[in-house]
Amino acid sequence: MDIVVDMFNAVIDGGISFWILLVGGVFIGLLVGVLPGLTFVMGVLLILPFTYSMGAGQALVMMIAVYVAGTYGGALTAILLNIPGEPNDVPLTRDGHTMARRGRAAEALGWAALAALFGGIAGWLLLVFFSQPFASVALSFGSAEYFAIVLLGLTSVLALSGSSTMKALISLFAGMLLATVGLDDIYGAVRYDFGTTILRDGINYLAILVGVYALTEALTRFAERFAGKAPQQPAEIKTTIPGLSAIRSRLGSLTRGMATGVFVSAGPGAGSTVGSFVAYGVEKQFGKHKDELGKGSPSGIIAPQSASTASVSGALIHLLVLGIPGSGASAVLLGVFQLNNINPGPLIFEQQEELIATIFAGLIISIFVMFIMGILAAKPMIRMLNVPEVYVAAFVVLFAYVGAFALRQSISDVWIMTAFGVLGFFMLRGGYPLAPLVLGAILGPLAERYFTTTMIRNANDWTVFFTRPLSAVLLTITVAVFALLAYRAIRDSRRARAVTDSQIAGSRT
Amino acid sequence: MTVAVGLFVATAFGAAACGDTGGESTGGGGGDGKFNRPITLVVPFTPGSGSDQAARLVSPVLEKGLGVQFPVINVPGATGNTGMTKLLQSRPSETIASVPADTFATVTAGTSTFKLEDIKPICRISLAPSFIWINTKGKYKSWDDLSQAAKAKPDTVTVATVGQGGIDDIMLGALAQKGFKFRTVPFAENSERKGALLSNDVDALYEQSGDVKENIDGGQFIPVLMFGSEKQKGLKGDYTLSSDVGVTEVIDQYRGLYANAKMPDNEVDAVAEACAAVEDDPKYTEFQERTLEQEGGFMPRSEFEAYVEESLGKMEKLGKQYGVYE
Repeated sequence: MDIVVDMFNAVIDGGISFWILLVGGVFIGLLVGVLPGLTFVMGVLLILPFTYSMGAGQALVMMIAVYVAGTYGGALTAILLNIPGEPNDVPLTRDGHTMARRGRAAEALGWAALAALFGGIAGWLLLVFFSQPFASVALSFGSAEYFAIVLLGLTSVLALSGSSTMKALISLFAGMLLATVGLDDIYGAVRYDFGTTILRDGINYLAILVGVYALTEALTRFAERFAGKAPQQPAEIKTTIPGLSAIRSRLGSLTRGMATGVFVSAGPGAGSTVGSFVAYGVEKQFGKHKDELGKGSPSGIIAPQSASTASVSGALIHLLVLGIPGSGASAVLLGVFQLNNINPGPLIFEQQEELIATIFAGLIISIFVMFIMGILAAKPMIRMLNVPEVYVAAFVVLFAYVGAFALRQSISDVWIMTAFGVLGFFMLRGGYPLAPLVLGAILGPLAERYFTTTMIRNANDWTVFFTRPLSAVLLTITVAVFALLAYRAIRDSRRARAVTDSQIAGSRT
Repeated sequence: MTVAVGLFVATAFGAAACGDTGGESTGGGGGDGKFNRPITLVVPFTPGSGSDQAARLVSPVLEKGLGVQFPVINVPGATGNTGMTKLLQSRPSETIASVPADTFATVTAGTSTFKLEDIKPICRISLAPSFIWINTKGKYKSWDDLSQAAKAKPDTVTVATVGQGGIDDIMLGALAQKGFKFRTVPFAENSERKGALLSNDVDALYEQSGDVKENIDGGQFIPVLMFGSEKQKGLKGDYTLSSDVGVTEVIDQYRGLYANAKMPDNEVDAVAEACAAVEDDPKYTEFQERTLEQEGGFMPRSEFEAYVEESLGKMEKLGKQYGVYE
């Protein structure tokens, strides 16, 4: 229990500045999370120059606050506007936005906040009490296991498929194909650039994300003349926090989400996005409310959100115990350590006890402050639904362009984002779901990279995926999940078609 | 459909409004070697990377010397080529880039988006020799162990590298010619390379000491071979020099500042002059000591231009000699 006492001391020693930096960090994290295109990695980076004059503890508290709040902020726009602020928020749009459109925005936001709180706490407990054993488990993962995890994430396409499995798969493969454009990281080969610089630099998946969600949503609503949605009246909102009995009924989703987030984050670089997609797929497969998923179920928010926030601690364990930045944001944190002459690694827990206590205290308080600010922000955010959509759409388009340009300060990304905004518009009209396209663009390159590395490492012996025990288990789960999800998806689409046919037949008689 | 077409036109105008500041205007430079607008310092790698950290320390030094801001932006992708595109598409007098030698390996490999004549070297800001590292809890305990295994069973002992066709591949090709044939396993991210050695997914790692400082201090990694002929100051350990196994011609990792070739010479000179102050900047020198970079890493423009050409020539020659490039 020494660590708990040390954390109290760290907070007291930190004084008022500790709280100012922490609350400011959470606010910035929520803000960058909300804005499409501005990622929490950018948020952490933006405040980096301001931390040069601070001590390591103060700087890390503020940056961790940005990081943890950033994994949640995007849920607000994903639910309210169908625009994920971050890649990890994509699965939330499906059920979250459906709930919002049915007048249950407050409830959806409450679940997102609660899931972020629980996911954050679970990850924090792991970090504080089990980081060494977790790091040992993480070390048993090689590129074969990472490939198996990413493949599991790709199977979630079937959970995100909507009415047509075939169209979802086409969308997924299109995303995977588009992500191969540009200079390949492993062989240095140039692919599908057609001699143009804009394509040789590659297609950034964030440009696709911002295009097909933010711009497509604005275009679609504009084409519909902003008609057909029933905004929720703020006066109707009583509470945004789910009650105890509601929590009890969704405990399974919460537990699975947290466990998935923690497990997936054992791989460096896997991060919150993979965790979020895998958690949604797992929920669709094993959840008590699996049949509700995709139709406005709180479980479709709880599982991916709790996984996203829980994964923050996994990345921090990689950084603190192994000296490996497990995500983009933790790479910036590593820079802060190094600028302060501190080397993360196995000895940091003995050599920097005070700093570790400050980080632990900063993380858990950030999680609670994030929850409180998220709940407080919910009501004013819901008021956005009462603003005429045409004004909201104008801001969305503006931020989409700013966000796309901010990705790499490149006009190429702006054009790519615009192209995908238009493509998304026509895809929706053709009944092709957008989430699989983004999923393919994010996970496709990771799958390719881990597959290629494993094959090179093992002299092109593909059996290694089955001879390594952990990889074999993960692949077996992947195949089982894929088979069951495929069966259900085909069954559901047949049922839907049968219902439509009988309705047509009924209308003729 | 009319609405969709209308929207497409509107969004295209929106994109145009976001347009880059490309063109040949001198912009920030007054033409007399003095600047009156901020100069963007492009880092073609991710936040937190070695290039990023170095650039963020060089930036205030340049600001002090030239009296204008040097905001750092990260433009990662395609082994640094996306950042180079950014440099070449921006106003020549308002952008420079901090680039490692790895990016230049794509020029010799023929996969780069830029040519050497598109840029002007400003100054070299760091120099670091490369090493082969092993995990202290791994199968091999020394260079003798590792090299004997590579000799006995060629192409079975694995070494994590940055990507095929890079400097790592060339130097490991040199070892192969001496009878030590390793299997190179490319990992795009530094964290993945380090993780692969930590988890013993590979037998060894090709890396500079600054990138594994945490692991050296934590007793996880030890060096077994250094590419060079003189041991590195500040790095403890019983490691072999590549010159002792017959590899005398090596390619060191270096990081330099570069401008668009269209930046007027007097402006490049002004930045180069300001860059000289990094040599004495306490924060930067502390960073270099901490990351175990080689002493004398700074090189003025007058020498750096020839150095870059020579280095690229060497990459090309050795790459062909060792079968890395066709």
